[in-house]
Amino acid sequence: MIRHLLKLVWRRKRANALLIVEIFFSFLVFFAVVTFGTSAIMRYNKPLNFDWHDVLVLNVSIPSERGLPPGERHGDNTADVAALDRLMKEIAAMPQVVAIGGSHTPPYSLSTMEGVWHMRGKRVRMTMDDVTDGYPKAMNISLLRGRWFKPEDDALGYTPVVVDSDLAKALFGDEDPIGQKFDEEGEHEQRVIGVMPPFRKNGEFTSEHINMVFRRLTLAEKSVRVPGSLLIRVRPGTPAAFEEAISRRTHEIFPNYEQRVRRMEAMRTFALRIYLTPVAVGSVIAAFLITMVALGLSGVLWQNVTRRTREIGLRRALGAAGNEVNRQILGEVALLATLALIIGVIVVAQLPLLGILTLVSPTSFTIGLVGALATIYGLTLLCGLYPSWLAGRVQPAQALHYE
Amino acid sequence: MITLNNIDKVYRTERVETLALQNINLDIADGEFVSIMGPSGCGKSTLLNLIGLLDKPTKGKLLLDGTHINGAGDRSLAKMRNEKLGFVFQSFHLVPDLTVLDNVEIPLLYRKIAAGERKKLALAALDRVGLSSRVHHFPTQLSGGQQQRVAIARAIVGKPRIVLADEPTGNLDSAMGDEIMGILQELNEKDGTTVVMVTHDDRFAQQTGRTIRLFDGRQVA
Ligand SMILES: Nc1ncnc2c1ncn2[C@@H]1O[C@H](COP(=O)(O)OP(=O)(O)O)[C@@H](O)[C@H]1O
Ligand SMILES: [Mg+2]
Repeated sequence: MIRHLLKLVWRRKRANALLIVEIFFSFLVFFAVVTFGTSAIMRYNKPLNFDWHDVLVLNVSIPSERGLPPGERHGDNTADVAALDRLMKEIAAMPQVVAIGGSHTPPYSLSTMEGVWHMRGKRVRMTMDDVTDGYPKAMNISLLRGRWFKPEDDALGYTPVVVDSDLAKALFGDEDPIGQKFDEEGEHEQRVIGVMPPFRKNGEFTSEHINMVFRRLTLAEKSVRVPGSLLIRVRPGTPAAFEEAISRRTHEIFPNYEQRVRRMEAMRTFALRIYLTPVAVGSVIAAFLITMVALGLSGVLWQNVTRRTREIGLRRALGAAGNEVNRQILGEVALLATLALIIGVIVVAQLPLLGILTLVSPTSFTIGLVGALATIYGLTLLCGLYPSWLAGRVQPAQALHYE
Repeated sequence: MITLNNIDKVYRTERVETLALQNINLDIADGEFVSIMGPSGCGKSTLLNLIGLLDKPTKGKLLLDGTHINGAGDRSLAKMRNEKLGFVFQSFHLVPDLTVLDNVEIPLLYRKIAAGERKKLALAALDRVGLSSRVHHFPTQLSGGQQQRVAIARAIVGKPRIVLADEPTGNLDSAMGDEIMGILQELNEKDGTTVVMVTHDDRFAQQTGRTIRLFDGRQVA
């Protein structure tokens, strides 16, 4: 019977090609939605390994000498750096404050320093930030191994860095990362002194393996690049008025620079919205597309049955029971779906070669593939149910009557 | 053995009720060649469809080989059609997307028969109607007479005891009609197949064992 159906499908390839293309494209859309959806959910459920609650973010636009292009360098910023150091110490001493740390690109800030570094004979993509000694306490980051930065590190002959476990694995494999040379910048050698769990810099939807490294930043260093954000962990329940106080004090110290204070919670809400908006729009479009395809598919299959009323009546006359006809039509639908999905799987199987696995994990990819296969099979069979039921009810005498 | 007792057939549509057959009583014995004649619309096809289990009578009893078919379910009706009956239609009703061979195999798809055996039986049936050289053609590549011969091969491939033919020569010129009539006669004479044929042609009716005449849904002879 399957060979018989194959022959029928093949001879009607022109009409069936359209259906196959429709099923194929809805498979691709579904694959994308399920894969990225699964990936988003899996990411969401992973620990952040930092804590955004009760954190204020103070931005002061201090021109940084090293941060400016050569023509615009305005000379020495030691006075600004010293003032910033003073401000940080003053804030740290406030009773509402638990800790304060400086950073260039804090979590949820939507700005990131990342790139590919050549290190230990490998090319490793990593994400970088320079942070002051108070940062780990302000962000509440715990370590797997080693230690964080401390003021006494000023005296070290190298720059200490803390890497996350993903980067440690990428660079050092199974070797102990502590004490390993990381990189050198000029005469400055960098050494790993601590390992933290994978850092989810951009929050809940951060991609996997961002390979984070924190380099110690000290305001004691000459012509340092000034941290743009000060992260202030306050005691739970600290009122909004405290933000005002911080802002006022900052303005007194830096009357000429722009500054603002936000809760990291607000930055988080904004960052999540930026991530979720395209996902939501994509899902709506996908749902719309799938509905269209489902309607189209039912329509085409229904038309297919209507067009073949005579053939169906003939089969009934020649000895097919109603449910055999029903099953035959469903079988044809399943065959079309299978052909479309074979093409779909072949196409999707090429995606890992094109690097999709850097965007989503192999698990989401597999779930996307299997999920889309199951859904499209289910959907096409569902679309075929009514038309094939109609086919099973065709009355042979009536169907053959039309001459 | 076909028996009809006090058969009525009423077609009900939204507006009209057509009494297509009225009080038909009929016995057709094994091995008979019966023709049915009558003006257009008098109920010939309706009668043939009832005998062929394609439709159910509104009233009366219909027995096939002693089996009362009124209460039979869809499955057993389909099985009886498949095993006991073969159909030939005026407009051939071949599936245009299938080759001659595949068309002839259709009835066997609804039996438990291996593909090889199916093909052997279909080729034998095609040989019987003289179309062995056309098995891989598609219906549109054949003349009307050849298409009707394919339809006959399809009707007999399952070796049914009864062949029902509704104006099998109606769409053919007289030479081709003679050919078809010859095949049906041979089936009846050599194999003892019961043949019930609707025809408009007196010439063919005279070649059959018995003629049933209908007029306006009633049996008049
Ligand atoms: N499926 C049907 N629905 C309604 N009326 C029908 C149907 N089939 C046949 N009829 C009517 O029943 C009568 C007999 O039709 P039919 O048996 O086809 O006649 P014949 O084959 O002798 O030309 C006609 O009046 C026809 O219009
Ligand atoms: Mg008729």
